[in-house]
Amino acid sequence: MVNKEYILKRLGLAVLVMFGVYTIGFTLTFVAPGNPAQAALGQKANKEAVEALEEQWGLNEPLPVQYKNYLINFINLDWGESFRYRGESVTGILASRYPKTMYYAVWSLVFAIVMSIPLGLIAAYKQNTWVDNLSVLVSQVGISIPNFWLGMLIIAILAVWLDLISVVPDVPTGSLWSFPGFFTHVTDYFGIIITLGTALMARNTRMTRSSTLDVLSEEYITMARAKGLKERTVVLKHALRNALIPVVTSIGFNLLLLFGGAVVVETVFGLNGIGKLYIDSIIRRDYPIIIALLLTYTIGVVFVNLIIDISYSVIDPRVQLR
Amino acid sequence: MKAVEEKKTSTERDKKETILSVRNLVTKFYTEEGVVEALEGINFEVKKGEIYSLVGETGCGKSVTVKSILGLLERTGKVESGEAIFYRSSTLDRPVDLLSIKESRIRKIRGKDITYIPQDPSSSLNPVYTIKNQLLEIIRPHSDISKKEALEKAKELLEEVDLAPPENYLSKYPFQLSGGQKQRIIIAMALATEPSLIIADEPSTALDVTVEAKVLDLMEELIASHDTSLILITHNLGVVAQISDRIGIMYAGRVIEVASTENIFYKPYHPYTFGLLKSVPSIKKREKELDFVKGLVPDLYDPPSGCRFHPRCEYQTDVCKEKKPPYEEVEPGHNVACYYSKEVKKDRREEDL
Amino acid sequence: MSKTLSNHMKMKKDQENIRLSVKNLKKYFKETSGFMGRNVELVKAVDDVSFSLGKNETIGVVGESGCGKTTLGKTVMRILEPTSGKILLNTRENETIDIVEAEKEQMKKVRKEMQMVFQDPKSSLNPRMSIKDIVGEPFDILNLVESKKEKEGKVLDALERVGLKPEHMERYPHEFSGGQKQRIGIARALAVNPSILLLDEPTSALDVSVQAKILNLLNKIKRDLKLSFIFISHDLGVVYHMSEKIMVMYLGKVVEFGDSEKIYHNPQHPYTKSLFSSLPVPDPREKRKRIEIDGDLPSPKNPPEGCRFNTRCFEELNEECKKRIPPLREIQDGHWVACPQKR
Repeated sequence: MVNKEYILKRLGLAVLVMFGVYTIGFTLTFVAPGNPAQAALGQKANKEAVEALEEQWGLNEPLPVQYKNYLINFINLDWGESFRYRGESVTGILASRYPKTMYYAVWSLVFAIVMSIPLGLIAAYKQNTWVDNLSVLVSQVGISIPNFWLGMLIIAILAVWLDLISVVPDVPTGSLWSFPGFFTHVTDYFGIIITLGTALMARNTRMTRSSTLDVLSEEYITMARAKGLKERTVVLKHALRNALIPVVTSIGFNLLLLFGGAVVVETVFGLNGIGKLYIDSIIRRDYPIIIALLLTYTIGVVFVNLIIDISYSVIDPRVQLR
Repeated sequence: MKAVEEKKTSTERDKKETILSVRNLVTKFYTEEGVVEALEGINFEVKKGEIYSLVGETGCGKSVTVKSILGLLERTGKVESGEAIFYRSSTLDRPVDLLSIKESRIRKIRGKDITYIPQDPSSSLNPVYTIKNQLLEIIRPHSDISKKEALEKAKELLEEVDLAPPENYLSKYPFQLSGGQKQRIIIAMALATEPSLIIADEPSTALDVTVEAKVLDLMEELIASHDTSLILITHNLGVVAQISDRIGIMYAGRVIEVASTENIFYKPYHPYTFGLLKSVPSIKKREKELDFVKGLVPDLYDPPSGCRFHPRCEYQTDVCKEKKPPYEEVEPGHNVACYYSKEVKKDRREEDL
Repeated sequence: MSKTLSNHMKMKKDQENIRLSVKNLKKYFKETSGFMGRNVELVKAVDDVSFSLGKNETIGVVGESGCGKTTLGKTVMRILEPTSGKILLNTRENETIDIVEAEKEQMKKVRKEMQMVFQDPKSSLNPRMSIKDIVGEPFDILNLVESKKEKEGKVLDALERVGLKPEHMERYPHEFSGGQKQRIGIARALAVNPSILLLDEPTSALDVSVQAKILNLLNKIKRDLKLSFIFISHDLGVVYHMSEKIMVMYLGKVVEFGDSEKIYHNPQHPYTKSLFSSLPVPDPREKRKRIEIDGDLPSPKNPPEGCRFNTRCFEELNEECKKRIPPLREIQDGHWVACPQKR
């Protein structure tokens, strides 16, 4: 099913994609107006100090040289120091932010999957009943509602009004990815998990519902019933696996959207994750962070796509990865 | 009307045990566009060891009939009335009405005593499971045998449908097999539980002629060797002529003529049967013009009154419009629902057929 | 001497009566796989097919799925680009065009001369177009009419020809039954007054009683309009009813060709024999004596060497069967067989 040649081919492609993303990202970042040194020292800093800092950061070099230097350094895993948090290494900053965002991204995904697949499946099975109507309503609302607004609504209700969660949880990053911290901290990040996961849940509910409806009208479902199998077996064995084939693809792509959502939602919740870091870095012209974020994110995208393709071929034997 | 079929004179066949007897089956579909009067009272019976064919054109209700009997109608379909008495339930020691028993009961009959061969082999096997998986799934729940014994049984079955050596096929997925091979696997599944009745819905229509011929031969042979009965649903008059013992001709939701294969082809009494037979291009002689039944199949949202064939019938009179014709036994074992069967008999000439 | 002379005369006469002559037509598909498409496999869907279609004649093309009959039809129409060969069309204006070489302007003439009727009337008619627009479309594409009025007149003629009424003009495909839709498809093909109709399984989606009406209609327009048909079907009974000549195909090759009476009542090629013996005859008194062929159809990507049927043949094979692709040979007047065993 999965062969080595295929993986190598995909990795080769990944390198090309990374290169492209880097080139576009670099151009957009460096061509955009604004001066990082000025931004770091403040508007009132004198000209000499700004120039000295520019030289220290290599910003006085011609653009092609900078382009080459950043790339080489990135490949050598020497990602340099942040312009904004002076003296702090980029690696260190990313290491403190990524686990946090990953934490609620993963839980949002879990929330979305656990809610959407059963809901979509039951809705399709009981088409045109109240469950189905509910699922249609939930997915419609979930898709239409902007996530920053949902975030504010959740803060207003859960934190301010009911006082169930703290708005800005203060949890050391390390304990998020430990046992039992991984599970106990869910309550701390409950608000953002729901906010991030809702859109994904809504999309997946709709997708699961429609793909299950298609599958249920297939001839092999009639055949399974004709074999005298229990409805449970008919639905869970014969329908579900086939219905999941398109859903898996959509989950992968939506996982990537979660990170996009994090950019906005972290600002609403005031959390110091990757999204907020990205916004801040753009505002402050923190080039090393921007480039590092772009490239690590691209690696993530490529990796997730590979996982999707592989799981696709596991679910559906007809898919051969070539 | 319902008694007529039961009270058949003593032909050889009648001494045979009845396996399934369907009476006045009425099924309707409740769709957004309205109510489809799909079946208006289906009557037929199947004897032990016989191949009984239900023949008709698109929309005549042949598939709906078997789906009603098996409880496999889609959501919008509903059996309104009638009964389908099955005499050979292995779990219950008495005749059961398939239309009124509980879902959990019919599940024990479906797949065990009555099995089903659907039309399109390529869409009837689940694409994501192996052949082994899908074979064992019917063998095991219906019998108390170990997994190992079940696997042995699966191999035997594959050999029986000429898929040898079975090991080559068990681990395959449906997409790795040809249409003919898939249909053989479905036939193996249908035989797996030693059913007393197999229902095949256009089992060979999707196949090429040479493959079709092999599959039909195989089915005929296996029906005989397993001593089971077969209801064959098809629109292909060539196929029915070759393998059925008796034929029921369906038109717009009713069986309008039932007789032996020989009688249907050589002594049809219903104007529709006669017209249908004449419209098939023959390879024996080449005619300039083909005959055909004039008019169109009726709209079942609003079917014609009385005999549903009357708008297309050259014999029609007022009585046809008013009252549904009862069955009449025109020859021993040959029943026709037509007021003018005698006139058809007078008019038909063998060279037309 | 007299014999050669009469042969010569006959050939000349034949020449005049020929509408379409196909010579050594090939259509190969390339299938690539592997890294950057390194492995290229050739699928010889139509491999060296030659035949001629007379004026006012029907050639029936039969064979099972994968034999190349549909590809042959599409290649002859140049809907698919031929790999090599010649397709000579003698138009109604007595002009000869090689369809394979034809340029844009000439192709327009070809499109006017040859039209196609598809298998599935449901999907071959655009649901958003009225019948008037569907049937009139070829005129717009080929710039054949001066005015709207002229077009409408021709559309009306075509509809009348297939038994539809003027009031049907403004309706849409979904308002028609399957048989009527196929009539619309035929009207569309007839509208530009072609000399050849290519019919690809035109009645396969229809019930027998509807099929009978469509087949009668086709035969009537063939007589009235002096058309030639290429009739592709898997239904041997229908093909026999329709065709003067039959072409039997197996894995891209013509295995037998000739007058339909000869082929149906005296088939010579082992494949033809088994194909015809498999046909279920709608007559219970005539039980078929089936000649069974072994195994499944080989993959067209990797057909057997020599005669393509040699893996399933029931005749005793000789060296020639395994080595050489047998050419079509005329074993008697008007009956051609590609089998080294038949001479």
